[in-house]
Amino acid sequence: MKALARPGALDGSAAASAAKERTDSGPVLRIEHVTRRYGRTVALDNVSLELGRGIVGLLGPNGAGKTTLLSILATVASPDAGRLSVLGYDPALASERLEIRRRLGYLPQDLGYHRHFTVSAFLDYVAILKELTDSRIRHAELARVLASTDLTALAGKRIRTLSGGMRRRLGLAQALLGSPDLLVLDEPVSGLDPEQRLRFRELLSQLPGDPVVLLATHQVEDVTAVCSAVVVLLAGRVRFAGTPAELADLASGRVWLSPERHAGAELSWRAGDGRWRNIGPLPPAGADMVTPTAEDGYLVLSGAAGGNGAHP
Amino acid sequence: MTGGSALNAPSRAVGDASAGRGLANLRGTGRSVLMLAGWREARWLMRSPLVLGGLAVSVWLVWLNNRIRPGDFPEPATIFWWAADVNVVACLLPTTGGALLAAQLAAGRSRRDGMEHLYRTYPASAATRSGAHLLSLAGPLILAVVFIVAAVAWVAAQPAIGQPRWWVLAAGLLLVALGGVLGTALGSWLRHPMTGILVALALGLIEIDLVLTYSNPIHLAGGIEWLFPWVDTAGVLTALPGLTVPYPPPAHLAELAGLIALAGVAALWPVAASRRAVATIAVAALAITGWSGWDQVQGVSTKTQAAMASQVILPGSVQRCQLIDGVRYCYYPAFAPLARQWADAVDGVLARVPGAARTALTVRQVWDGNFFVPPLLAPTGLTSNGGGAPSKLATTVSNFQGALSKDPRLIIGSSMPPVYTDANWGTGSTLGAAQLALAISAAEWATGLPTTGRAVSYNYAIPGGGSTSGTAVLACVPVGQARAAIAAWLAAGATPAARSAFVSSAAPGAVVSTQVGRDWVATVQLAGSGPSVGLNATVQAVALARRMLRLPARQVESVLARRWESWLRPAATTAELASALAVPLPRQPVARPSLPYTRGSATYGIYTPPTQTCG
Repeated sequence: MKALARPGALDGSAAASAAKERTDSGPVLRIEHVTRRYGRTVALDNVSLELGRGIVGLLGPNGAGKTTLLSILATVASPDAGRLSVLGYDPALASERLEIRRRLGYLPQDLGYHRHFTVSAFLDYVAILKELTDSRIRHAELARVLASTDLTALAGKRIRTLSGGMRRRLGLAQALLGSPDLLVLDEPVSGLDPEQRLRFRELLSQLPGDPVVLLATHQVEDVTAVCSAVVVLLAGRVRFAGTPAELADLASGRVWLSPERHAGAELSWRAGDGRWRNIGPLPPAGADMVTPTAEDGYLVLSGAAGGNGAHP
Repeated sequence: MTGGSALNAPSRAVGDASAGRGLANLRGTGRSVLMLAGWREARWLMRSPLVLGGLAVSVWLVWLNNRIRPGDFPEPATIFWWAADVNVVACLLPTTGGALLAAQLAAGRSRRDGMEHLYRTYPASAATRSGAHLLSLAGPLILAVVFIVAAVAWVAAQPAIGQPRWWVLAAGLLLVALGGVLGTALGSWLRHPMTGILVALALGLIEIDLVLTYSNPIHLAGGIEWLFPWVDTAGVLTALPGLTVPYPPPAHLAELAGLIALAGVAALWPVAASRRAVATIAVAALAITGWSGWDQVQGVSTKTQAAMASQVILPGSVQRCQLIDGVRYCYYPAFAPLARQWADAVDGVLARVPGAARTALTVRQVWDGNFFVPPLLAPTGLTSNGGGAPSKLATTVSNFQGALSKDPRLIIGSSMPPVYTDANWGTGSTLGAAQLALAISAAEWATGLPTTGRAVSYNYAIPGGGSTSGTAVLACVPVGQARAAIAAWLAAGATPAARSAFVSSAAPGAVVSTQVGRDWVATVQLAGSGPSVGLNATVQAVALARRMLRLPARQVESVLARRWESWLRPAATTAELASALAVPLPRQPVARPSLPYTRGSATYGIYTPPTQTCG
């Protein structure tokens, strides 16, 4: 994983090849002061980020701006203000936008399907649209993504006969076609059963080519399990960017166990062993403090557990 | 906020690290993506139930419209390519409709299925995808080509007269392409499936109205019908040999091409990278469509109309004549292959006529159809019905046709009496009826019986109330004359197929009551060829002919040859002929008067004025 923090002005006019070379040694995603509004609603508010290769989790409640940010990175939306560099290319320029799309795999949050297509016909068509016109290469790539997503046995099935989880895997398969350098996955595990979620983690861990993977999810444990970095968006602003461990550290000294629900806790729930797990800013003296998880850190950060919503 | 905090983690990518980068270098060009995506879409369109369903209906219509069934003769039993090729293309309309619907569904598919958001992230642009949808119309076009080739081969095997015209068949392909491009354009703008259905329904209803030769519930102002993609001109000029359609063919092809270009522009407009280029194409297409439309509503030139009428009124000016076994056959050029078949029937008659002067006989083809189909003929100026006053040309042609069946001197160079044949001829099971009809005319010529009739105007007061009036062309009846039996025998024995047809024609159910002078006579009407009135023979004469057929041909020929000239006199009777042949004279049944009558407010029966005995 390359370093994330690389402040400095973007050079959008750089030649594409030169830009590609830059990404090999610098941040592959650079977002500077990006703002996006929908009417009066500010979906993204002056967001700045630099991301390197590896798997990055994007956390945030509904309406935090995750999908908007991913849409912008996937070149289907453009910011109202600010600048971006994706894999060294400027998506504002048509020619460079094409280069980004050639290296992009995208799974939208709400993906429709051509219900009467078979799995293989759909993927074959997508592969063509991804410019895989050599039949030998295309067929090999199809076989690879079908195997990766455990869909080989369903290749001849019509999409309308697939379950929700199978369709989600199919969405993932189309994103993986062409072995993209940048994978933008919006809620990829929604609808997947526990086994499929584990398989998904395995899949992400075995992606070839050291791509950048941006993973928006509500499942903090998935982020903890596979992400080397995590970004938390709240109300359109980046409230945290760091490792899952650093996210967990945000709740350090704020989580304790007690036999009864503690009145001073902002958030309490009975754990499996019958004791109460409390999160709050003021643990009582002598409390049985526990090591916080990334989820605890997220809850503190989002204000659900007594934080002020700002980084402590 | 901690945006920009440093994160360090080992790379966890495993597997073939070069896979992604390698594929990036092996990507196809925009053109190869376009072609491949287009071919994928084409394969889906070819397998679309809508396209295949439309094609199945097209196949059924071609079979329905061009098959020849027993009993078709003397209805049009001959297939003319100058009508059949138009019909083949008209039969492609269901395929066109299927292509429209399927293309609309395909073009609107990504937005209808909520995939557009994702598709926009692929390197293939929306313009490439729209282009692929347009290219995919190669699928239905391939099916249309196969359909046309198969239909042409099948119709040609019927057989058919003339040759299919390439520009008519090409217009069929343009029709299918237009349906597909129109569907793609609709799908590019309106994704809902009902859009295609409603458009196909609206256009389909108008087209159905235009290609049907009857009813026509939708009345369009004269001339603009030609602006619609297809009008069935087959019914307009069905039996006019060698005539063209009443619009400029290049203009109609250009109009279809212009409409295709306009629909293509509409399909590409939302996604075009260069709208100036697309707009330029649109302007050019609009100009072509406008010019071709203007050219088509001009109607047929006076010169062309005169040429059309001249082919009918002065057939000798365009016909070719051919001597076969001493008999002269004159026909419109396209009908040359039929001359030998006509000769089979005529030779079968003349071979048994003692000392027949073959060189005196000319078998001439005439056109006795009607200019038909309102309101399609409005721009041609040839219509004689359908609302407006008939043109001078229509009147001229109509008068000629009226005179044809009663004036033996009408066409210079014809035999006396004339032996006509028309555009209809039989094949397969209808061949016998066609051969018998021509053989009847030839036998009448050989035996001195008239082939033409007498026009009579009548006004008849129906007993019980009401009246009927009109004009009828009446065939004389050779009551009791030996030559009637001889003519029937000659015609019936012309060919084996003619013999079978004669036996069918002379069945007891075919007997009618004919008023000859003041008497009522039981007769059998044997149809002649073309506008000839045929032979209206007594039941006795027909029955004697049947008995003659059962005798050895040499025996009958010998009896006839001995006093041939005598047998042809009106005074020679069937009784004398039966006696000479040593066969019993068949009974002539008593005929009951057959006149229309009124019962209540309804009138039953048809009035036929009295005819005369052949002199």
